[in-house]
Amino acid sequence: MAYAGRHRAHGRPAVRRARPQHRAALLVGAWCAFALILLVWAGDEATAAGTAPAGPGDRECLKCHGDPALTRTQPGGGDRTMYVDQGVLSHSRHAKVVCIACHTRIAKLPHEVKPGKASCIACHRREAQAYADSIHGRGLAKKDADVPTCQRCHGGHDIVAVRDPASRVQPLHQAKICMECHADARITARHPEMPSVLLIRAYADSVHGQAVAKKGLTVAPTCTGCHGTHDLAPADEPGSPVHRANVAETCGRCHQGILAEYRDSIHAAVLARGVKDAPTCTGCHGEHTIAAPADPASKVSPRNVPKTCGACHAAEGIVRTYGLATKRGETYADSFHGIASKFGNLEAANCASCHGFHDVRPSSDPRSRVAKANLPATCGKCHPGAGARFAEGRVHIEKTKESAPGVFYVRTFYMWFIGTLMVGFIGYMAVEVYGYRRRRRRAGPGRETRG
Amino acid sequence: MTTGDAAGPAVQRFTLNERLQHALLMASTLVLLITGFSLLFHDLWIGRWLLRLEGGVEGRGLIHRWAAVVLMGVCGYHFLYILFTERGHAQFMHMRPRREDVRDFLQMIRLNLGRPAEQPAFDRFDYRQKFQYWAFFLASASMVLSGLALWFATETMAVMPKSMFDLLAVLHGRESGVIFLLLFVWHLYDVHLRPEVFPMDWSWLTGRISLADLRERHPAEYEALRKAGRIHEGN
Repeated sequence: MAYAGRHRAHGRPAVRRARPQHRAALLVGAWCAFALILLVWAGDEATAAGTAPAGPGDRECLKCHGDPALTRTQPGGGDRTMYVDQGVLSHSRHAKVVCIACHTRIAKLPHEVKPGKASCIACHRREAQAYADSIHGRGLAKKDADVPTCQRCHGGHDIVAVRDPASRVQPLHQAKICMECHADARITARHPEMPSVLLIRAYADSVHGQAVAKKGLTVAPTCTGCHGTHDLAPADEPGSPVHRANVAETCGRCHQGILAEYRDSIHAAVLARGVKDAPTCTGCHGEHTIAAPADPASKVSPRNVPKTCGACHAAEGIVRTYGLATKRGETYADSFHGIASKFGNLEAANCASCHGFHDVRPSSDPRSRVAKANLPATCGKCHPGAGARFAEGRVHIEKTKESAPGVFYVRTFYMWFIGTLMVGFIGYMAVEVYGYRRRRRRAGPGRETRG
Repeated sequence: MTTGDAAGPAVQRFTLNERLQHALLMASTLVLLITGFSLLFHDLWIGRWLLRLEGGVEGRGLIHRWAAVVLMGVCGYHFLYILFTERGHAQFMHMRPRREDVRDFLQMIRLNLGRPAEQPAFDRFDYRQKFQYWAFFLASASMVLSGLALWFATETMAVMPKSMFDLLAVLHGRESGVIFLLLFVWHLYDVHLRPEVFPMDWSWLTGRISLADLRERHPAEYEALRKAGRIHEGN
């Protein structure tokens, strides 16, 4: 403060004046920037203004449509308001767009009674094309009245930019828009091919849904984040972003680091070779139910990992078809790691702790975490003492002689040893009790013999 | 030495120190067996139930290891007791296996089967008790060694291959079956169900044995005590 005061007292200007040559450069720059802004703005509006057919101006339209009492009698009965609220329109993204830019069929006044729906295609050609190819667009082409058109999702005169928090399709509200149809029992009843609403509802509780609803994150995916927007297609179509072959890319749009790891995994490699049983992201993480690994309900929470991997690696059909290693699940379940994990120890190693998560590779791959040479380091993550010697033996041991001879002989020895002891003890007792009773009988009634 | 009570004249068989050693050994072994079996039978309802009771695998492990510390403490104390006390040393000398123990065992079998044989004159510890002592010693030694190797996994992993580790884990589990048999079949029979002592040999609690019982079950000891003038006939 003291410094500032002194500064002012000297009366020196805070900003130095630009020298003449600098001033010229500044002026040119400013003019260029202005021109650029003008161009962009004009370009934006030009499509609307330029391609709009000649016809009535907005003022003429509002002569009738500016009257709040203007209604039209519906064919099915009842009146529908034909009033256009200037207040709403003036706050919309289309505030400066003339009426006939959207209501393209109106060339002269008075127009016919039903001039057809507003059309977006003149300006939003790319989106319209994508929409036409989408599952929704194809439905519309078949004159399906249930499919959403532009206005159904984006709104009409109240349309705002997608990024505007007030937009109907802004991430924070977007799921609601989809659910208006996908949770509508009348619509789903007419379209048995639509996915179950139960499946979709799970999204609300998922880590993605919660991120949007609870944390207000607009970067977390809503429906369109994964399924696409105008180009929406069902998962069984090869072009769909949620088709098996594209899921990883779709998730990878946000989870880029993970995608890079996954691409190098055995799962991605065999999936690319067309093995449809190979898991992509959703195979392990789930789809609409996706939860954070720390969530106990997650398919990839420490306790659930063995079950999730086991869905394929303990499935006889899959194990046999692809020649996978057998008995991985049961040998794990019988190990100390497996028991500890089963009874709620979250630190105990599960499949992924040793084999890796997204970068899982077969032990034959030298880069695999479970390749012989890497085992000391992998075991060493939890057991710092584990050295090269420790990793010598097999990890998943079965109860056979071939798999673990030492364990097998110990088991066999104790089976016979305990059995023999049991027979010996009981035999001895029987002999002793027999001898006691015999001596007592001989001694006669009333006289007790001991020893 | 000789005292009279409701059950007739009796002598001291176990000192309080020895009875406390037994009590601690019994308590720790019972806890070890229960917490061990809950892991061994984790697949059965009883194992699951016990594990929940013990506070999951972590709680179970904690109880198990503390009980092991008590067991090892008692064993350590027992060694010192044998080595450095006159009484303890004398007890140990009585406990040493002798050739006569095998002879006594065979004679008892013959007698019980009704064959002609001499009644063995048992000393302070008969062959049943010696077998109990030495079998339990060997079994618990193997349990302590394998248990320590599993407990200090990080250290043992540095020197042991996993196959050895697996072997010790299985051995530790199976040996518990031997200990269970030794205690719950052999020992409990010996001190509870054997017709001579049924329903219970009270000496582990009272520390005393009546002269009548001493004369019948340990005649050699009785003779030795009488000759030494420690007990007087007719008391």
